[in-house]
Amino acid sequence: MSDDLRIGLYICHCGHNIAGVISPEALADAARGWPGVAVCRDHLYSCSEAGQKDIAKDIQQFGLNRMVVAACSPKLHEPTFRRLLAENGVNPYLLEIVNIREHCSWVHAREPAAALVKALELIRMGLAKVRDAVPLAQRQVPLTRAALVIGGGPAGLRAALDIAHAGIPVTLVERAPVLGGMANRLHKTFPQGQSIVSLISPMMAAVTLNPGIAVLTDSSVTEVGGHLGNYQVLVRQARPRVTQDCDLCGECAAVCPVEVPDDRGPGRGLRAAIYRPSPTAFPARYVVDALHCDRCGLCVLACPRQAITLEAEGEIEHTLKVGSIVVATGFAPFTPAGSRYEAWAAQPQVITTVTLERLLDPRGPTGGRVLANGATVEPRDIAFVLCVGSREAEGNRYCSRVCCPTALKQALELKARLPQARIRIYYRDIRTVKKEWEALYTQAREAGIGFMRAQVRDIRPGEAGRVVLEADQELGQWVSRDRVDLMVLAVGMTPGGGAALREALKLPVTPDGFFMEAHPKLRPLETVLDGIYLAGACQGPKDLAESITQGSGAAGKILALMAHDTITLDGLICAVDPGRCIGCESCYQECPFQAVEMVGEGKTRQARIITAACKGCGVCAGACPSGAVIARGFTDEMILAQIDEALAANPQEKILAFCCNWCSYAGADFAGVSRLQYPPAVRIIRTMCAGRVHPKFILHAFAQGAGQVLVSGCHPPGDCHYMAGNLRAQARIEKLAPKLAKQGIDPARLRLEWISATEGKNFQQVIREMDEKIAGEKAKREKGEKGKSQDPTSGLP
Amino acid sequence: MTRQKVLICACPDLAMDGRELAARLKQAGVQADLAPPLCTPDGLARLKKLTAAKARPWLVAACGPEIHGGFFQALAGDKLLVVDVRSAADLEAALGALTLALGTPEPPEIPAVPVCREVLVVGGGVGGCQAALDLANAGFKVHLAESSLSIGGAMAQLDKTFPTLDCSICILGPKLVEVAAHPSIELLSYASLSRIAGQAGSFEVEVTIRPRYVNMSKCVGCGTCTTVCPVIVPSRWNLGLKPRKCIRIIFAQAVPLRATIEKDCCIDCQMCVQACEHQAINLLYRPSQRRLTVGAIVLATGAKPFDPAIKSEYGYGRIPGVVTNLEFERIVCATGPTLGSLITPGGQPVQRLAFIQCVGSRDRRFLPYCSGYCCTASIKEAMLALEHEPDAQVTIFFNDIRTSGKGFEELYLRAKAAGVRFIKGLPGRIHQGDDGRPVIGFEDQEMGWRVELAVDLAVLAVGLEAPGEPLPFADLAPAQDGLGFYQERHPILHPLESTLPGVFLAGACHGPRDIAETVCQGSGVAARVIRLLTALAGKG
Repeated sequence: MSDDLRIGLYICHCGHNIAGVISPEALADAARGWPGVAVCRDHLYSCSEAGQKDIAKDIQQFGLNRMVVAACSPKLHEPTFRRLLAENGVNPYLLEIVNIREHCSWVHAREPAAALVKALELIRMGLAKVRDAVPLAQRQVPLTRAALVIGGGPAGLRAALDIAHAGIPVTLVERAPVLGGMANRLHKTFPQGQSIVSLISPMMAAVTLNPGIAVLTDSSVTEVGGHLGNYQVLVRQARPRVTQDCDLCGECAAVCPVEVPDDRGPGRGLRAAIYRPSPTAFPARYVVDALHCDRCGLCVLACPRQAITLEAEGEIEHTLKVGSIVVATGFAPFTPAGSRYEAWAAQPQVITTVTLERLLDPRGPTGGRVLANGATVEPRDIAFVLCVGSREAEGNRYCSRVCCPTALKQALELKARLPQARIRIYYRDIRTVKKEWEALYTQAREAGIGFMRAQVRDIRPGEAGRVVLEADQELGQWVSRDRVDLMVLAVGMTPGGGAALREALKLPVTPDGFFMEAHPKLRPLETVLDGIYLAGACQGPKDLAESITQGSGAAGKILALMAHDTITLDGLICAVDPGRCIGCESCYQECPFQAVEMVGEGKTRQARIITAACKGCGVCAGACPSGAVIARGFTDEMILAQIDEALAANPQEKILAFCCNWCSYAGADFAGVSRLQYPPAVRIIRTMCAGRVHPKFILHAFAQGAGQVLVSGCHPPGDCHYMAGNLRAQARIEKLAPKLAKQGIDPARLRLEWISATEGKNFQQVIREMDEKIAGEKAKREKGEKGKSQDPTSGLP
Repeated sequence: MTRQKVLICACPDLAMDGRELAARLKQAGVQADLAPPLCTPDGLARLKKLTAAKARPWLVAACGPEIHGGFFQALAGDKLLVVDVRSAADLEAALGALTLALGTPEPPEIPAVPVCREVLVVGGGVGGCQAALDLANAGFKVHLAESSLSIGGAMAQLDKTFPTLDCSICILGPKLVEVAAHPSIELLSYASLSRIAGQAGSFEVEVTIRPRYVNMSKCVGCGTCTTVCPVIVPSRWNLGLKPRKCIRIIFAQAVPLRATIEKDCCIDCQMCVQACEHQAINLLYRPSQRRLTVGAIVLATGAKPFDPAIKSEYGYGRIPGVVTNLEFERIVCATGPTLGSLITPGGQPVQRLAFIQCVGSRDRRFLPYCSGYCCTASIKEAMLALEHEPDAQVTIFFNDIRTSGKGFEELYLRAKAAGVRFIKGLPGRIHQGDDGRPVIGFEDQEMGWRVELAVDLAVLAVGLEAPGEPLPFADLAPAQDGLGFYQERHPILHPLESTLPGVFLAGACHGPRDIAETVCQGSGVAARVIRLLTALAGKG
């Protein structure tokens, strides 16, 4: 404790809310003259203008350098009092709010004497904590005003355009030789039936023409380092064998002797080893298929502009510095190969919706005629099978969202082209979940397309070049047999081959393989890594409009970020004391945000916090075995001091509760708001996350004689505001139980509970149960004091 | 200088044959060339030659700006005259548009207006809040107008959100506080718009702020007034399931957290005036007016639940045990009328309950479309019911189960595993049993006979419809579809723009959507607004 500590202690009546149960005057009288307290007053409303003016006057008059306000929950007025301090020249972090309303007067309304004692102890805890408070600075992180967009499909194109339009330079990295992504393989969109080319090509052209967008095709992101505001990205680009001098005359392809199956989409014929990936996509270019090229050199001679160099080898490395990244890597259609559909797809009469899309395209391999795999007549009987590669018992369990409307669109187009054709759709549920999609379903039924609620179990070859579908009818439970000329598998979406990228970005994915968003509802575009955003189907199956919306959304996030030269971050983060760090890597491994880096080698190897990435949860501090991590605002010293004060009197009758800021502390607040009464034995210590709670706190509490200890956090898996801090807490507590037993402490005295911000009732219940245990122990002790108990179970409730 | 040459884009979406269009123009003495689609590399090469030439006698017959998205401007600025023939219904219409344009000597100069960098967001639900926050963080001044007493919208009324069953207000609350505390956001609650005039870059908006009879700067939200008020009325926020006082704070986490008197019910007893220690209450307040100048307007007005009383066969309003899914959310919510106990509105315990899907939705008599959210919402509510009453029998009557969204199918599978019974086919009617409970009559499609199921609670999964009141646009208003939802400028390329330049759309006001999609749109709208205002400022 330093000598010049001058704490202002303010106790709020909150009208009758506090004063109706506890006498603020009595609290103030008792606290006056406590160590460090320079001035102590009670106000009718500390948060009111009058109260604030009074406090401001005190700050000047007494030269206050710390403040404790005993009032309502810090969730309500912590910002108010922080602002007041800052306005009066005191660092805003030299403040502690003691919650004597939600956690005391409201919940112990019928026990005013006990509530008064508790309030005094809570104030002591607050004073003990604020003594160790140090001024904290808000962090200013510099920002690189440039962005990277990974993926040149619709979502990536829109993101790049919207960012570049605001004057921020963009690099767009595309793995394929041309932009457009999966859109290049589509023919028409649903539900309006517009040509995809007339939608996507203008976007590609606008990107190509925009001087603020650098497009790197044939490229992939291989390494990403840095953090929000300053990412360093390594992009490797295949060295082009055809230079920009190419004028697309096509002489090269004409002379090329190599013939390979066209990989631009199923249903195409053969192409040369030098070819134009798409006539409509940008950039317009010929590319050499290095895998199949036999280096004969005929194309080099044929090129009138000497634009071909077959010797170009290796990769060009681009090192980019960007402030923010949009991941828009899209999806890959489900392929039957390797699944239970492989044998079906081998039949010439069986195609996927992706192939049908090519066949329906007038510019496609069959000139728009529906001739699958060399068929000579167009089909009369056509069956669509939905949910291929989606909603599977084994394999992809998720719904791919777009296959229903895609199949409906294609069925309608087939019906229009081949009015004589009999078309049916085998489905489980028709999922046209959008306002406009349902109209497609209605149209399809009106057009005479049949709908069979059945699951196709198998197919076998039939007569006259047909296949026979055997299907389990959902109603009636009988097996139907259906002879068709063409069977279309409506394939779903898969996350695609982004595995290497996942590694480079260190972005978590959900069990279905798509990238995980920071929160499924309220932060769908953000990731756990600040400054990296998601757009489009890489986050989950989506249609074009949704992908494009997300492209704009990710751009919106980046524009908000880049409106400032620097990024201001809260001061409540962690730091490592190099004098204490032993380089054990516990913090490095437990940090949910990769905000810890290990620097140095061998004995000098130590952890360091990357301040720009740290979110201040304190999970690292909860893991540190040597006390080297300083969780600012919630340091070991502060929490140990709070424990000591909380357990100074009658420790065996107390419940010490560690509550996480976001859920459990708020849950206790909610118990207060709901006036749920519970025993006054509990003393709450707020931490940012349950993962901040170091086992030594618990051991210390028991060493001080605590009757019960509660650690409480957000419900797993998803509620934790720091990804998995709650799970880290759980792991530690589970490990601690045997240790307690060894020390002769009943592990039942330690409890872990998940309490959300609305579960005031649960909080009440948990505290009641724990208090009953304390009462039981007390009864046991009293019996023990009287003499040896005759009945060992008589003390139990 | 008149133009005598037309370059026709061979767009695959032209309603007519491009060659025929060229032939007809030639007959009329106009030189007409058919180019490959101009947005493809080949077409672009052709277009570049044309724009490189000094003289510009060419007219381009192609698509409108909602499709090409500024691509022609990127190439040649505003100098290229482009006529939209792609939206022309037939050859004659296209010829008409071209003939008119050929006679126009120069593109009319658009008078530059000073561009205002302030934005009005209409509606303080989660979509409006997200748009306001992203815009404000990007350095724009935002006015957020909310008609209700608090921001938060429908999400604030929900108990949990699907598919993670997160507590709704816990995740929304911090966002609302962030909005209120943001220095660049002006929150206008209890406000209605009385007039919108002007154009993109400079709209004049008149806002009427209704009186709360409480001084916003004096009230601290302590709630003392509500304890003394003698007038008890049903709480609309709790859908009439709970009484409240005439002066009240709408809900515990309301933003702004201020008391308000419902003047229509007030008996002028002055008890609250005397009880308030801050002298914050004044029964003589009048509505006040605000005049805003903004560069752009974001509509985030949301949708409203379908009123199931119209679908009379389900007995909503007549049978006490028939409730809507929003009422169910309030019943199971810890802050709701029953403090989270799952009981019927009559106070009876619930052991059997059924959810009925597609109430209003996918019904030609009412809403012809799918509302999208209700299947997953009912499955979530079924899980909540089981959390409250693990032995409850829960049935869901459905048409198709449409759990298509990230993690939704998993929730469906979990519900099936937890014992929720799914019955294909919607019940024909609900009648009141002798004991007063709802009895659901339905056809067992597997067995083929009619069955009756008596339940304690029948929950109607109601669809979402467009809110009825139109906004007071003085001149042209953004177009709405036949159902009252706002129309997008283009359903795929411009899903966030309305048909009126400068007016943007976020959330359910242009079709039902869930929270995550609405939030994405809020952020997306921010980017589009910034794009527009940047472009207009560059011009001015």
